[in-house]
Amino acid sequence: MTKSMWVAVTILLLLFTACGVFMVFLQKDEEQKNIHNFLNRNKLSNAISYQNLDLSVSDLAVLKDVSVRLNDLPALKNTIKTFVVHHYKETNHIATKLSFSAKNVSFRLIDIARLLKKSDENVIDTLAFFNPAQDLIDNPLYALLLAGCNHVSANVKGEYTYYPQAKKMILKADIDDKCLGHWGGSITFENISNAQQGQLLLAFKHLVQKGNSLTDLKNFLDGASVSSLSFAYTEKALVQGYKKYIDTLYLRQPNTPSPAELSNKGIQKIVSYLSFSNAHRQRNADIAQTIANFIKSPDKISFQSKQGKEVPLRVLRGDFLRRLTDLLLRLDTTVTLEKSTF
Amino acid sequence: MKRIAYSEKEGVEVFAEANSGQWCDDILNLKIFAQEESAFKEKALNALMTKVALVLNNKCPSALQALIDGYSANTLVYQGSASATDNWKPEKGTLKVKIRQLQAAAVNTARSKDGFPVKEWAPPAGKQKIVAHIDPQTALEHRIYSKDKSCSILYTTDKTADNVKNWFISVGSNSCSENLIYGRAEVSVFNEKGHLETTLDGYFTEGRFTGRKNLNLVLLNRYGADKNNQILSYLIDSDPELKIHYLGFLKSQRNKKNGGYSPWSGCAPFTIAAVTENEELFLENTVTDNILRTAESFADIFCLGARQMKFFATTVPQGIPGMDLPETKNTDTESAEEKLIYAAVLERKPGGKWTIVSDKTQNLARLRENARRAEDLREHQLMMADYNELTKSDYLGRLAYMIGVDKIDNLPAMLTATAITQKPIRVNMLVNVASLGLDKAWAQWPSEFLITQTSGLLNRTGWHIVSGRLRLMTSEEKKQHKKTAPFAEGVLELSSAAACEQEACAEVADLIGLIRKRHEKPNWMPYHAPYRQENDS
Repeated sequence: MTKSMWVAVTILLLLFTACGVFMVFLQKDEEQKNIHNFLNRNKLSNAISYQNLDLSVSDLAVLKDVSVRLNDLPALKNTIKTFVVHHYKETNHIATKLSFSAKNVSFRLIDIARLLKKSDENVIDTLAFFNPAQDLIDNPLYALLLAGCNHVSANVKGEYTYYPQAKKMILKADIDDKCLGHWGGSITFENISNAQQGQLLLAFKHLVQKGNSLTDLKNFLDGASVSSLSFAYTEKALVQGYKKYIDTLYLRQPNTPSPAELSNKGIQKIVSYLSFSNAHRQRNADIAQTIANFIKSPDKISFQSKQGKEVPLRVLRGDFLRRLTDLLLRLDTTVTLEKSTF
Repeated sequence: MKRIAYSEKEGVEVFAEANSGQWCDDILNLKIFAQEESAFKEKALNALMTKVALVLNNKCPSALQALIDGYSANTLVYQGSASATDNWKPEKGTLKVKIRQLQAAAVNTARSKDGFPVKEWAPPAGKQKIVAHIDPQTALEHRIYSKDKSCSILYTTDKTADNVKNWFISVGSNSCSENLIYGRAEVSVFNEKGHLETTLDGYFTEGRFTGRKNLNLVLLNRYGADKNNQILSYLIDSDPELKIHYLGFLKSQRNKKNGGYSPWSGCAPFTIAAVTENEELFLENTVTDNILRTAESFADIFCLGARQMKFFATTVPQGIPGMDLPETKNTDTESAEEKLIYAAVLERKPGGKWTIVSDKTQNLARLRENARRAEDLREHQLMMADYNELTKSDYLGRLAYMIGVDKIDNLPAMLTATAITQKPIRVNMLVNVASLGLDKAWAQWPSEFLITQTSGLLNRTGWHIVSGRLRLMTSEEKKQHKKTAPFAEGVLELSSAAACEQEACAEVADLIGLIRKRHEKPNWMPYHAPYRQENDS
């Protein structure tokens, strides 16, 4: 090849590259407009901000360095390193599929506690008289802090699927943090109308915008049933940390059993609690024993409902724990322990 | 025992307990054995004691009191006492038992039977040759000799020693003993110019003029209240059983018109002190009455015909305002009341019986004892309340009780609270100190964390209950100590520390020991009140 040919090839390559870059810019600009429009349309532009976006062949949107401004906790510092919308589909203007993931969702639990505190005296009193069993439900934030968890840096995945004809919705979530552990769960709702489906999206919007989405969630679940439920937790440091707190609270001495572990009396209490929802004592005893074994050597615990069961939510009564217990037992849920590493 | 009376007809025998073969004493122990218990009914016993009195007056006139035990069918059915002053009329009661208990208590604490001390004070040994101790600060008294120096008197005057140093006496119809005039004498006192100052015609005791009264007394202390009131105390008797020294007081008062002093006298009123540290004697009416009767008998001996008596019980031999000293406005009431046990003014009624008349009658011993008992009872109730509370309390509650705080705090909880509030928090915690450094220490339980400002508060490793301000480590401290584990980032600035005796302060499991220690009552027991109520019987 002659020298002039080399020059021509080089110029052509430069032109192609410039065109490519120009096209990427154009595409990025288009994406940016789309996202901007989406946030504006849903009145989320004040609540969600991001530093950058990436183009991806397989994904719909890749946002970088995202932060969320929650209405109830406007001063809460948080960052999401990458937020990816993998898939989104609408059928007749109804969202039928959404899958997303978030990497490195970071915030500090202590910041939340500071923002939510009523007064210093209230904080001191609440912690000084903290009941490690009852307050686990009533005050989970303090329970997490007492377990030694503060800096959250989690990877989150979520998936939403809706079948309008079948009025069926499947929600899946997966959260993994070095202290909070690995949580994974899936739930299938039946009898979800289009209008109710819209309430779920509204609940998310209101959670960000107003900080309260309880009414929307109630509307969403009104008349719904649960036909499938699975849930798994894999220990990292949470249960062990909470056990350590209980050990110090009840002055555990070296070479003595942890007071956090369930004694026979404790197991019987759980059996009695479960039996109040369902009188199948042997199964209840097995569940209680499994939970006791998990607390003793926390690793991975899984809850899996039986196929073919369906429980209308309206039949559940009592406080949150009682309703959850009722639901699990009515779904004939099995509880198993597994090894998380082989 | 010696049988002193009997009646075959009545079926009664009266015995007196003998000591070294002698049954006659000032206090008799009588045992009456009767076939029928009815012999101890008031009327029958009065009749019997009238007959016994005849025997006593005849065979033991020195007897003052009798303690009576009455037996029927070898069973003790009666206890009482009788005294000569009441014509041996028996009085039912448990006086004897109480006196014996007190005697036993007194004997147990006595160093020796003779010369026992009261608050480290004891009368000089020997009863004959005692020279009164003169307080040079308050006693206005000078010794004035005869010209040949063979005789002298102790003359009370407010003149200075220089003024009277050249005074002299002349003595008529006298016998001197050891240079001091004793007994009857007529003494003329001359001043330095040879002029007659005064004539003292009467009796002298240890050189001191007692006027027309011949007092043969064992003088103890010569002191003064002020210029107008001069005092001389004397020993009446010592009761080694009850540990009481009975003291009398003579007074000499200044005549404001002529500046002279009255002869020493002690009968208007007869002033007597029971010096004892056995305060419990005055807690029982019967015992107090018994001591008062003793004082009354001394009044008859030393001041026959005295109409008024001032009696007081005290822990010191002198110096009680309103008693041996005149009442003064500037009296240190609290200090005097500490020394005073009991005080009463008695008057002899026309029948010869002494009765308490003064409104100032007071039994401070009983008041103090009642106050002490009330305090004990109150403390017992508090301790019982503590006991009941602690039986329901958990281990941490007991630990808190041990050091007197509301609660024992939990390190993770309080460190979390510190982090949320961003302020140090005052805490009390159980810790196991692993190592000590210069003004700092490291705990290994409940977590590895730093304790600062330990100088003078922590001097050994091991379990402690510590109090102080809990804060988060500074960035520099975190770098310096390289602490990353949850709850290792706390620093306790120590303000107090209590070392545990056992692992993790396990001593708090002993509830009674815990309460005893807290209230400093080593013999306390739960359930039973220390005293029965007055209306319990």
